[in-house]
Amino acid sequence: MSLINVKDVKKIYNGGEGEVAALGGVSFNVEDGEFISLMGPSGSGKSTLLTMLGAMNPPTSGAVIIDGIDIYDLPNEKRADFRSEYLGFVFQQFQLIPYLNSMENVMLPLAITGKSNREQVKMASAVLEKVGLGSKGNRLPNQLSGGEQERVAIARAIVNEPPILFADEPTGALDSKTGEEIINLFKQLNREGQTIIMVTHNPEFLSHVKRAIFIRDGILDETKHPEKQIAV
Amino acid sequence: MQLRDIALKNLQRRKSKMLFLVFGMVFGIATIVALFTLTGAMEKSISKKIEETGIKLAVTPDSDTVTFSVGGIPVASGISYDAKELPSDAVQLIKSGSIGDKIRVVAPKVMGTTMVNGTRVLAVGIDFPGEFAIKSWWEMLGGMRPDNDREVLAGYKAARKLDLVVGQPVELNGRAFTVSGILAETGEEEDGIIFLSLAAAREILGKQDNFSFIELTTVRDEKIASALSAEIAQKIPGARVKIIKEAAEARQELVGRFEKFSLVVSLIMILIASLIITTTMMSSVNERTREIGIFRAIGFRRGHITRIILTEAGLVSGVSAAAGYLMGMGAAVLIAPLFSTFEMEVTWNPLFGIAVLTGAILLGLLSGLYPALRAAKLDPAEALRFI
Repeated sequence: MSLINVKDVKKIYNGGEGEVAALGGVSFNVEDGEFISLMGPSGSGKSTLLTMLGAMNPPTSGAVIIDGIDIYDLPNEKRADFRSEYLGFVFQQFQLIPYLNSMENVMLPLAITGKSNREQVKMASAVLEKVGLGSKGNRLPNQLSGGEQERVAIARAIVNEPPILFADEPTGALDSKTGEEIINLFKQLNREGQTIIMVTHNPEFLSHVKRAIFIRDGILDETKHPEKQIAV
Repeated sequence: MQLRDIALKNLQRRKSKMLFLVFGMVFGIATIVALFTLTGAMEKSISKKIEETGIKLAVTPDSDTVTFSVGGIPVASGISYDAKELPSDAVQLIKSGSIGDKIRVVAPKVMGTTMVNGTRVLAVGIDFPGEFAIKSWWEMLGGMRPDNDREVLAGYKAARKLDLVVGQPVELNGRAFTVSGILAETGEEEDGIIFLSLAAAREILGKQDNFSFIELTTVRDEKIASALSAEIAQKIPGARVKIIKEAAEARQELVGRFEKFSLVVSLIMILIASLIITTTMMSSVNERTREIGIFRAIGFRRGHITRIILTEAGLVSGVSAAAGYLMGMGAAVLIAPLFSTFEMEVTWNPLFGIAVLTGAILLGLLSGLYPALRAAKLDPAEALRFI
């Protein structure tokens, strides 16, 4: 069974100009351990699909099944628990909490797990070491470079050891050299077994992934790079 | 990292905004604490005075020419200078009643007008120890209370009007006396009176052994006072007995009004504090939409968000309450001497401190509840649109 099974999901928003279909029926599967890119122009429905996969945006119809769980069948608070347990997020522009240092930012997802502070520090130190920031745990976000902030954001996303890692334009705010380093970090995580779904509009990124989802006007665009298309 | 650490760190980040909120609350809480502490101290002082004084009764002859009042409160209406008087055995009759043992002090008086240095003044013969026991508010401006029949005590205004000084010889109806003391101003009729012993008053006024009126105090029990009043009226024919509202009781009413005022001020302060907390926390929640979206996206439950916001509100309120309590008590200690007539003693009551702390924290939590629930209800997908 696939790790992620997206079944004909539609999302229709009721705006001032009537109904707008952000997603018009999208289906695909993601296997455990895959590194997939979700690509498409602005307004194509990428963000809607990402928040839907991230258990934050219920579809108007269709289903998102992760590890055999229909996540939108879960009540709201259980879905929050699901996000904590199954999903890691690397947001656009890093989105670190400015008043927490690197260590505290990484410990944030652990704050609701009931783990002791000592245990949290141990786990956070290990992932900071893994992303190459072992010595910068006491730095506040504004005392770190863009690349370092991105590494803290990745550490925060994986500290709970979630089965799935989502990354939204993780290299968008970085120079090309730093962006390359970050991509290599993601590739390393994927080699270690981490399933990764990364949103990007950078076509150069295609060379780093075996498979991709192209989306345009709320539906899958199967004409682009057929060699990279995901089997539905 | 625990949820309270997130709350603490956020408060530290918003120092100036939170300090503004804390200052506002400290001021409000200090005002409430000072008002209630002062009111409590006043009430305690008056209750003590009332308890010490007991209930006062005035026994007067049943005639109606002159009213003698204390503190604006008539203590003896219907006192006639020359006409009816109470019999000479009135004091004995009063004391020998079936509940005479409940009487604390009996202060008989003989009144009349007399000439002093060509000026007509009111002279009142009294039993000095008994009178001073009843008039607990009397203070000596100078000299001491008379201890023999040839000494007089001048009221404040009488002394000024007649240019009397302590130790000065003075003639009352042609008889020689010495001014042994002058009373401090009371603002009442007694300021214009010359007090002397009962025997001396009878001598200069040419009176027999009768009394103009008698004041007495009983233990603080209204039933006993009423029973005693009925018994005296029965035993002394032609006597009118009246239970007097003591000046201290009038002050108690004043304190009651002050207490109501304090309550209204406190309610207004509480309302304002509550609104300030709510608006500050709301603005904090609005500014943190993105942050709350991140928390929710990484798995924080609504309850976790509510707890963070409420912890912040509770911490701010708790710190403000502690500082406000100390400041309010300090203010009460400094202000208390200004109310010298009440002889207040400000006491540090740990239970009151705990009540202030608990009340303020509860207020903080209640005021923070709406912003906390608003924050918890933020849709993570919507909140992340701010990213």
